[in-house]
Amino acid sequence: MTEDGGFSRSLWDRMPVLRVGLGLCPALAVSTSLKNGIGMGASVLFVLLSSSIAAPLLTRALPSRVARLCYLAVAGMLVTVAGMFWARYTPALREGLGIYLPLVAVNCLVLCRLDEGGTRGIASRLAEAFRAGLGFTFAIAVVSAARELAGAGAVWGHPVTRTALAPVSGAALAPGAFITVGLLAGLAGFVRTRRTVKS
Amino acid sequence: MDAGRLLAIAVGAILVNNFVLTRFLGVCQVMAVSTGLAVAATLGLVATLMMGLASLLCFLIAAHVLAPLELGYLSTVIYVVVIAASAEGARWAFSRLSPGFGARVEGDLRVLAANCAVLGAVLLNGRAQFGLAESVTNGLAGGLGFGAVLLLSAGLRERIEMGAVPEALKGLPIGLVTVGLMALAFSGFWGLASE
Repeated sequence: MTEDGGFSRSLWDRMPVLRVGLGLCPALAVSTSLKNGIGMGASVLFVLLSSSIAAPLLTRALPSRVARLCYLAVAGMLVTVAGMFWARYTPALREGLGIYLPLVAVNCLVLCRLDEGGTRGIASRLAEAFRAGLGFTFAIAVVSAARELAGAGAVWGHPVTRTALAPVSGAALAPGAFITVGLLAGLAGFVRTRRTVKS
Repeated sequence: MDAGRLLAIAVGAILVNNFVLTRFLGVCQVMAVSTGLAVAATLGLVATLMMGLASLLCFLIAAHVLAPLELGYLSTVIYVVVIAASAEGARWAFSRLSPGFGARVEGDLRVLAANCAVLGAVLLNGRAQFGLAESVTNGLAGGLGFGAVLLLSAGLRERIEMGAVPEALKGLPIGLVTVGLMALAFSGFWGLASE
């Protein structure tokens, strides 16, 4: 699909949360359960796709400082729309995402869309945004599944290990979030170096 | 306004519900600052000022413009634009007052113009339905707590660089685990200021 070695390869390399720590704030905060994680991933994917269309239009039409301000306003509107959508159809998810859904508007991942510049075609921008969003969703799903399993002994709300193992309640709390994401990022780094050595 | 309540909010925002360690706001900056204590201290100072300023402006706009016009649903858009514009204003003011300091903080202000910690402070004020003094206190104290964690982790980072960290954990992973352990230590403050 791309010059840098296929879709899955670049998805792995771009998994932004675990690779370079972009977009950490929502990944740490709402990854207490898989449902919240997937909801956040879907919201980020929506905002990324829509804003990657808006970004070149703004940067072509306006001077850079004004374009940045307008782009932030557009991102703010997109997260508001996403919030209204969740509030209408799954109020529990909207409550679970809390202030972290509006915060997507100033997320590094979303801001990167603007700094990319308007040089490439719309299809390649959309593909890039889709990959970044999917990479984010995948990473946050892994993190939240791990934290839900460790913290509540369940996945997607269904008890899994609750009867066999006592849940580690710390995994659901803030310190557990940092340590889980840190260890998963370490695991991702380990797998990456192994793959590089092999190839 | 009850001074005791303001103190409780301040202690809460700095120690108990630290913006970075319990609310995950500004984690990106904590992970990115590894270039020494002076840089971390400047960023913390500017962030404190920006969070206080943003809390003040956004409270005034929310209470006197958005609420009377019933435009509450637009609050996120307005907050984001107000914060970016006030960072631009602060950049201009600093460059006029002291060009040297202005040039030093220009990068920090560009980061803070669109930042989780600043927008997070404003959104938390709104959620808690804080008044004017409470909002500004929460913003300033949140900034101080953010600055404290920036300083602590910049200092720790300098030590970790010298240690024997496994190859796969170098950089971001060990940084996150370290901040996690710091969060565990800060959880000792739970119950210090119950709201």
